[in-house]
Amino acid sequence: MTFLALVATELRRFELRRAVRWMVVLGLLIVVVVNVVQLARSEVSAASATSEHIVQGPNGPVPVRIAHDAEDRRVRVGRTFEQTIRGLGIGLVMFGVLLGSTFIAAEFGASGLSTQLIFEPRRVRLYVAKTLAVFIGAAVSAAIIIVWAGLLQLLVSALRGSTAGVDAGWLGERATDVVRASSACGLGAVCATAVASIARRTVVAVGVLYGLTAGTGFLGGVTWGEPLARVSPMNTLFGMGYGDLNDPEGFFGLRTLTGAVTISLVWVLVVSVIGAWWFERREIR
Amino acid sequence: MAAAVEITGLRKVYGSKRPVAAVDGLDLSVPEGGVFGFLGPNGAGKTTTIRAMVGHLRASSGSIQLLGVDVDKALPTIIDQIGAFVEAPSFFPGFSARRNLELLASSRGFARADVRRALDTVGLEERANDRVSGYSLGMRQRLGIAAVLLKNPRLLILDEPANGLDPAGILEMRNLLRRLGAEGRTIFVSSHLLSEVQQTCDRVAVVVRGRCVANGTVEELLRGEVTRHRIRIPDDGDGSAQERAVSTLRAHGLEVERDGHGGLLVAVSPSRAQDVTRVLAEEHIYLAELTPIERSLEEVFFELTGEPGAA
Repeated sequence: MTFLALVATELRRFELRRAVRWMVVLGLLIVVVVNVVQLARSEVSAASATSEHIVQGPNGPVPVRIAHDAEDRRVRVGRTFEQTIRGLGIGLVMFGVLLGSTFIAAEFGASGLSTQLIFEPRRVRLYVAKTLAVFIGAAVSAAIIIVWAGLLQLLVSALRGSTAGVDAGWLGERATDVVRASSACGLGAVCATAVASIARRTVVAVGVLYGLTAGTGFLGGVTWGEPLARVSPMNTLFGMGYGDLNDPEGFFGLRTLTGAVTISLVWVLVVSVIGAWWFERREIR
Repeated sequence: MAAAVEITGLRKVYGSKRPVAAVDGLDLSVPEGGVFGFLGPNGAGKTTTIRAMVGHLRASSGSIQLLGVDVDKALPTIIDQIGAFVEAPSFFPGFSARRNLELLASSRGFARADVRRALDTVGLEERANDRVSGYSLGMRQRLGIAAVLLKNPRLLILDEPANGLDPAGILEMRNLLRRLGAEGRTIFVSSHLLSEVQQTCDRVAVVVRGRCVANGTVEELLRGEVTRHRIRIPDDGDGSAQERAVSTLRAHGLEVERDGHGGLLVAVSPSRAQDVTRVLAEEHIYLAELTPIERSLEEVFFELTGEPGAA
């Protein structure tokens, strides 16, 4: 049996899980809520606004009208979606951690692994297939959420905002952003899979990685911990998901996207090798 | 006959500070074809042995060969010829039975028709689209058998397959195992249901504290020396004949007790059974029945394991 068939089976198993579906649906609903709020707040026009003030004149108080710069609160997908993807990129790494943790931990929990191993006893092969499936499944889930957010933002922009700037070049750039942020989500899920294969429990894996996020924040706040925070897997994954590393204050000094991606990949490789080794050796009940 | 299962010196030790041997030098040979019963009390090492057989754990020492192949080195090469479940069959509770089997089937390239056939064989076709979480223990057992049959295996390793089944289910399971065994497959069954094993299995092994203490055909195990006979005295109306028979036999040094069904149980071997008829005839008591009492597998099991209730 080919390895691809095994990956396809694992991907199907991932996609069929109710926890995965509910999490994706929840993500889509949150995006809907955000866009409804944006729709409500969006101004139709960018007309100048004025305000009336009372000032003390030589002959007593006089009303004065002051013209302000126009506050343009219109939704402009051509300008705002890039920022949206950045914000989503970080959230989706956390989302990936949930997806990856629950996938393999559920198999330990339900002991489905015991039956699976009767069909595929090569554990490293099975682990790699599961890892690939988790990466693909989480990345596709993330991409669906981002694209959904983009479509809704486009709709809101068309209804009560502006779609200026949306052209082929813009689409190409955003597609690249989607691939980057989705991949960050997928890598987060792979890390979580490795931790969960050792911990066997979703809550432990999520606790470890979310705890690492908090720990990274703490380390970044002290002088001696800053170098550690910079190369922390959660920091590099967040940096990868955010994509814009021009701000030296952000992401504890990560400077280039290539660097963030490289360090993320090294981390994913290291924890996956440890996870696979553990998975291969442990007794399955 | 070639061995379907060959276990040599299998040992599995848990813990390092205070090591406990779950399996302690188990030797076992199971010939190919037929139904093989693997018996033992709780904690005897049955499930640990089965886990080691299917690669779910690594033995501390010893070797296991299935269908002539070393499990430690080359289990994947024969995995399509082996169907097994260990303890309770495990499936994703949120998926239907059909979906669970389809996922297993697709990982090995089996067709959907194979899934239908397996479900049909165990009588789950009608409930195949229900979630496994709603299944009874017996239905899960049947689903476990269906998963085993998906591969159309030469060797089936089943851990307590009748667990949770109702009497009708047990009968179905017995017939299924017999049929599969008659098809030339080897069925390796661990069980606590000794009467079931006696009715279903061709050969049995008894394992106690991680060691095999008996291995052979059911007939061989039951062939031990008969030590008791049941005698029946024609009813003389007031029961005095039976009373006289008891006192006569006891006077000749024989142990006698009432069987509760109007007969007497005499502790005597077949070679001395004639003494019973002779001493009673001398007292003009004539027997209506003298029957050697054969041992059941249950009695043999309790004798071998030293469990309470030993005959």
